[in-house]
Parts: sequence; structure tokens; C-alpha cells
Amino acid sequence: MGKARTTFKYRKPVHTGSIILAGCLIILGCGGLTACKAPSSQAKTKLVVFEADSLMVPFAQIQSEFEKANPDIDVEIQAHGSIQVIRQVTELGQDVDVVAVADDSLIPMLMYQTKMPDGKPYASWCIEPITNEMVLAYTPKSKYADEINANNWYQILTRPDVRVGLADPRMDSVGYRTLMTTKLAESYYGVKDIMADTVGKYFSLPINANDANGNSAIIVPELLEPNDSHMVLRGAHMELLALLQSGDVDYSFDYKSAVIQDNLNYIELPKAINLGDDSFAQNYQKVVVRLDYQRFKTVNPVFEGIPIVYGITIANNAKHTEAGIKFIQFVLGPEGQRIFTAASQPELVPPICDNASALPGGLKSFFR
Amino acid sequence: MNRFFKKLPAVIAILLVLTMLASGIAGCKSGSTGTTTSKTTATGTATAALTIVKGDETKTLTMAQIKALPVVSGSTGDITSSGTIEGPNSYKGASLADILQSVGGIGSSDAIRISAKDGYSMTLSYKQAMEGAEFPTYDSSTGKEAPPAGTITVFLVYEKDGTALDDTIGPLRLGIMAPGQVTDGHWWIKWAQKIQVVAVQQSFDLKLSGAESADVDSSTFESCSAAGCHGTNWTDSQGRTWTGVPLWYFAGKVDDVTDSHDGDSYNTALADAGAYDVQVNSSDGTSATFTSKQVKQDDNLIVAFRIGGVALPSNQWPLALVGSDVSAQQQISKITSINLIFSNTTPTTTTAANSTTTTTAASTTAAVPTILTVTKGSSSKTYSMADLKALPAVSGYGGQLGKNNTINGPYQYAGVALSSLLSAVGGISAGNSVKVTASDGYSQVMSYQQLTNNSFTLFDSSTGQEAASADMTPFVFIAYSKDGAALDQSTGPLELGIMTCQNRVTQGQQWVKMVVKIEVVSG
Repeated sequence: MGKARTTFKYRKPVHTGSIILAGCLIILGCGGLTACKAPSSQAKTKLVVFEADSLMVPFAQIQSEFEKANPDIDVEIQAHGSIQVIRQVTELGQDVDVVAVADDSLIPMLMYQTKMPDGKPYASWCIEPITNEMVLAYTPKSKYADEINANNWYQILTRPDVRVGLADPRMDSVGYRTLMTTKLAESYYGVKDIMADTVGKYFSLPINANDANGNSAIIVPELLEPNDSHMVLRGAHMELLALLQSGDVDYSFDYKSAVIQDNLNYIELPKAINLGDDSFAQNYQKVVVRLDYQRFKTVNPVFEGIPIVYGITIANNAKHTEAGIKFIQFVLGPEGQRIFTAASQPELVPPICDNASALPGGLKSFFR
Repeated sequence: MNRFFKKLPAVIAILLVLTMLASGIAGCKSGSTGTTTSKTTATGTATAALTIVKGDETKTLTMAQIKALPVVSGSTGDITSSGTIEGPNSYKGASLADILQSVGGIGSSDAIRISAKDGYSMTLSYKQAMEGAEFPTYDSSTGKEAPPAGTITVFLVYEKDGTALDDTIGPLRLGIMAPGQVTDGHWWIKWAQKIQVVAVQQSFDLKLSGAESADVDSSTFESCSAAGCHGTNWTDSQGRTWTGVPLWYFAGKVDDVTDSHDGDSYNTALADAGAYDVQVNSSDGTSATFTSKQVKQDDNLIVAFRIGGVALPSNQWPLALVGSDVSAQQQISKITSINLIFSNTTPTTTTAANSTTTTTAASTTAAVPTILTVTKGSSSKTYSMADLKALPAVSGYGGQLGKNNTINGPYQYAGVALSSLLSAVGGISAGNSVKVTASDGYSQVMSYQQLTNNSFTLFDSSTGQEAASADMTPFVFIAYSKDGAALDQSTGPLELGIMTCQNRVTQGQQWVKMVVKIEVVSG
């Protein structure tokens, strides 16, 4: 007589070891314990896009439509302030494929000038696809909302019961562009001290300007401490849009696209001061903003008055250049134009490029 | 043998399981992102983790020393500018206030600059650093701004969720402990390694010109104003104390080409001889002028940069002229430059009346040069710069539309109305014209109708498009000051221009540089 044997229902007995072996083979076929995911995700290219905050709304739509049109590409987007976007690449060593910023001058300043370990610059070209302009945002709840207009806003903003929001010019481009706009307003309206009286003087160390020969150098102190309830200072302009909605701020300067996207009221400012019209570039040049200290090692703390133009590029150390090219083709193409128009950020058609000869082949056709 | 082959699947299976376990552990480590993060942990060695600088004192703290301080712990996090919330996480660290005690603490006029190893830095006010004030707080779930839920403390983080910070953000990070809430990520400084106690002030440049030129920046000015250097205080009738440097020190810096800070840089001989005027200029176009004799070593003419110990308010910043020898008309502020305007004769030697020498003493005064002649027939008047400035001044804006629609200006000018100068020689009447001549021989004629009707075409100062006048009638003037400074050699010392409102300019061809003569002529 032999040992008792457990039999299964199967006609032929299946040994335990065989079961285990079969199981292991199945698991191995999946590629290991950690990799039993849907096989299609492994085949996708992950395209990393770092964008300026003010691109969040249109880029969310672009991301969705681009991925549908390109199912083999997974777009991962992170939003930061424009300088931080570039620092992620040039100083913090992040793997970023596409860089999109709200100030096109930053790309040559920070990415052409900064070299990778192999000696090449972090970028070699910059496409300028969209513009923006400064407006004065408010809501129906804002004090004197029924009185304010394009001719008296600078008087309304000085009223003692009005709360004015300012994005910290040390941290946010909207902040230093607010200073430029209010300074340019002085010569436009023929009224002195608009910059100081609307925003600059409400700090323990005021934001002052050196005026000479028709030009102004606005100096932002290292320390900005509001010393009056008139002034509400926040690190990011998006925070002020929320405070406008809640009624904690009456007025705040911001990008027109962001204000429209947030369904806020706004005062359209004259082209001579709103930084939105290239034909007034010479006038905008009359102001610069200088930070009284160096916040970033590699960033010269001087910002010139120039038209607001966005910049986009593919980093020279990008891991997914071809996917990046497809993405920018989508941004510049009819779908991108539609999306940006719907987001109140109409594209420049045709776009501008500062160094078209350095463009990858897939993008050159936009600049012939 | 049969028994072996029957057991073989089990053996193979066991081997495979062991193999998979080994590769699985390695696979878990690499992760699906494909990036490898090197992790280092605090070793508790005696290496400095943080450097604190206060004045001349530099102190370093090791991680062990930092951890020996009272612990700040709690659940908090940060929110980025795009609204992404990181946390809340459980953090541990030491308060900035406790760390600053290692250098004796800070005063209310101090600020704290935190620097990271990548060069990033931010500066906190005293209130922020010591009281946790002025940090907006946000709901950690929704990101909406909300009142603080508890005491806010600025701290140096060394541990997150029970683990020492790795070198992707640490070993130290500046954080804001707002229990249960999050705060602005700009203040969460990774790789924090240095703290500096700083006295924060705004920078400015004071431009000096005379026998040579010099700039005095705010740091130099502050050094000069120190007690024991050249600083002085003056209390006005309202009990306000102004701090600054006497005007004559700045004259001494540019009164000749020998500027030595060792010994006496001030040329008393030039000052005694009345060799120059001292013109103090404001960015609003006003100025105050003194003779060198008035300024000479007078400690009651003060260029002040502080009032009550703090920087001047914005309507006077950066500098104001104060002191018991400053008249009400001379109390200008927003000073940007000081010019020494020399005559072109050298002083002669004088000797005192009771001198024992036999040389006859004769005191002389330097001749003040004529820079403008105005004539009508036989009537003629000459003017020095001081004479012109003694006339009623006009100040306002002017700018020029040049070729190709280029716009020069507008600038802020000060000067004398042409009509004032013409009145001094009997005025003009129908049938007259006014001929203006420059030092290079160029001349221009303006008609009676043009001058009496002030009929000048105006252009928008931004676009160059022809525009209607906005608020004032333009008029002709002789400028001696532009944006608070004397005109440079290419246009001055005098320029004929058309004064308008700030957003208008006029045709550049109507302006005349280097004016030396104005004649009322027939025709």
C-alpha cells in the first residue's frame, strides 16, 4: 500500500509544486511584483511640462486634448512662478522637457546664459506664442465699483477706505508689472506719484523710484512690510484673485486672461501703460524695476519694462524631445489657437521666434 | 529517479520565488518613475549645519546643537503659487527665535536674511521672524485663505514625518509652523544654511559734480553720517530730529581734483574766493543754490537722509535739505544731485589787513561769468546763472518730437520764461521777431504771433500723434535745469524750449541748445 494522496477534481492530479510554478510563471510574465499594471502605460512617453501659473487654465485643456490626440504620450504638468519654472531646470536639476513662462526674456536670460555640465546652454531658442496685458480687477462688491473707470482709477485707489492688493514684486511678475504700469500712468495722465500713492507708499520701507531723464528706476526694498490696512500683499497674484472674490480686497492689478478666467470685472488700461502692445514698447522701456537684493544667485534682479510676451522652449537636456515637439506643434496649431482664444489669451499668429535657425525641424514650418 | 522528477516543479518554483523576491525588492527601490534619489541621513557629526552672522560675529551650530534646542513640532505644510498643497506633514525643528538667541537675539529694527546652498535667499522682518506675524494661512484641504488656527512659529525644520530631511531639501529647511494649516511656499526655504541679521534700508545714489564727478551711494552716505565721522543731527521747530551730513562735505568732494579722505579734502581757498555756486537739485525740478562762501564749513546746511531715525517718507525720499541756515524756499527734498558751478576766473591772493608783510592787500571777488545776453536795440542785459536763478522760476514738463517720430522726453525742467527776459529789455511788439543764437553759431527766429499766441503744435508724448493740449497753454522758456540737474555740455548751460503738460511734446526743431544770446529784431 502507498501513502494516501490528495486528489483533485482534475482527471490528472496536479501537484502543488506545479501549481506554484505555474503561478510564478504567470507573475513573471507580468514583469515582476511591482509591474503588474496595464501594459499600455509602460509604453507611454511621459512628457514633463513646467508652466507659469497664468497658463494653468489653457494648458489643462491642451493637456487633455493633446493626450487624446496622442494616446502614447502622458503629459505631466507642474505650475510655478516663471523664474521658478526655469530654476527647476537650470539649478535644481529636474528632468523637464518643455518650459513655458510668462516673460519671454527669462529664457534667454537664464537658459541661454546658464550652461549644462557639457558646456551647452540649457536652451537655444524661444518661441513667443501669446501675449497678455495688465488690467485692474475688481468685483461689484468693491468699494466705488459703480464709480471707477479708466480715467479715475488712480484716484479711487488712493481713497483711505479702499483695500488694494499687490502681488509681491519680489516673488511674482504681476507684482513688478503692477509697479511698472502705475509708474507709466504718471506720464500718461500727467499726474505725479501715482505709483507711490496707489501702491508704493504703504510699506514700512516704501517702494520708491529714481526719476531721471524721463526714465524711472523703481526700487523694491529687500523687506516689504505693509504698514497700512490699505495694502494687502500676497506672494502670488492668484491669491489676490481669491481675495477679490471674497471681498477682502477691493482692487488688484493682474493679467487680463487670469481676470477673465476668474469671471471678475476689470478696467481696461490705456495701451501706453498696460504692457500689452508692442507698438508702445519704447514707452514701456522708460521703467525698470530693481530688487534691492539678489533673491536668486543666477538672476539679475532688474526687470525691464517690455511688452508681456510668453515664451516656450524645449530644454536642450530634455529626455523626450520628439514628444516636446509634438506638444508645441499642438500649442501653435489650430487646436492650441482655439484653446487660448477661449481662455482669453489669443495667440500671436504667426508666432515669433528669436532664433528660428536653432529650432528642431518639426517646428521650423511655423516660421517660414 | 521518478521521485526526483516529481519534486522538480516544486524545487524550481521555490527557486523562482526566491529569485522574484530578490528582484522585486530591487524593483521596489527603483520605482516606476525611473529616477533614483540618493538619500543621506544626518550622521550627528560635528560639522556645521547652520551659520549665523550678526555684525562681526559668526556662529555655527551643528545639527546636534540645533536638536538640543526646544522642539517645535506639529502638522503643517505649504502651498505653491499655483495652489498645489504640500502636506500637511508632521514636522520637527527648532524655532528661529531660539536659534537667534545664540547670537544674543535681534532688535526690532533688524531683519533676517535666510540663504540656501543654491543661492536662494529671502528676508524676514522682525515681526515675521520673532512673532510669526504677516504670514497668511490657508486651509490645508481647500487652499482657501483662512484666519490662523493657532500660534505661528518660524522654525528650522530637520525632521519630516519622523525622518531626517534628506539632501533633496535638507538637512535644514526654513518652515512656518501653522498647526493644521499651510502657508506660502516662497518662505519654505530648502537647504537653508545661513542666517544673517541685517539692517535693511533702501539704496539711492547722490550724484555730485564740480571740478570732477562722484556718486555717493546710500551705504557710503550712511557711513559718512555715522557719529564720529561727518554725521550731524538737527531738531526742527516741530521737534523732529533730522540726521545727515553737512552740505559742505559734498562740496569738498568735488571742489577740486584732489579728493583725499585723509586730512582736509575741502578747499577753503576756493570757497573763500567765491569760486563756485553750490546747486542742490531735486527730482521734482526744484533746486536751491548757495554761494561757496555761504556753504563753507557751515554745519547748519544739512543733507538729511533720516528723520526720527528712519528713512524719509516717500514724498521726500531719499534726501532733504534742512538746517537752521536753510530758508523756507530752500527746503527742498527728493534731492538727487549736487552741482558745483564754477566761475572761470581764479581767485587772487589775499592777505589780512593786519599782516606784517609789506605787500598791499587787495581783496578780490571772482568775476561771475555772463552766460546769456538779451538785447533790443541799444538796450542790453547780461545774466550769469545766478542772475537767471534769481528771476521768478518756471518749472514743468517739456519734450521733443524728432525725426522718424522719435520722442525725447518728456523731462522735468526749471528755468525762466522767455517773456520775463524780453520784458527786461522793453518787451516785443507787432513787427518784431526774436532771434535766438547758440554758442555754436546756430540761430532760430520766432515770430511775434508765435510768441504771443503760444501757437505750437503738440504731440502725444507716448505715441507721437498730433494731439490737442490738455490742461495748459504751452509757452517758451529758457531752461537751466533738467530732471533736477544742470544741463549737460551737449545742451547747456541754457536751452530754449517749450513748456507743456506732462503728456505732450513739441517739435524738436523749435528747441535751441546752448543758447547764449536773445535779440529782439525787426521783421
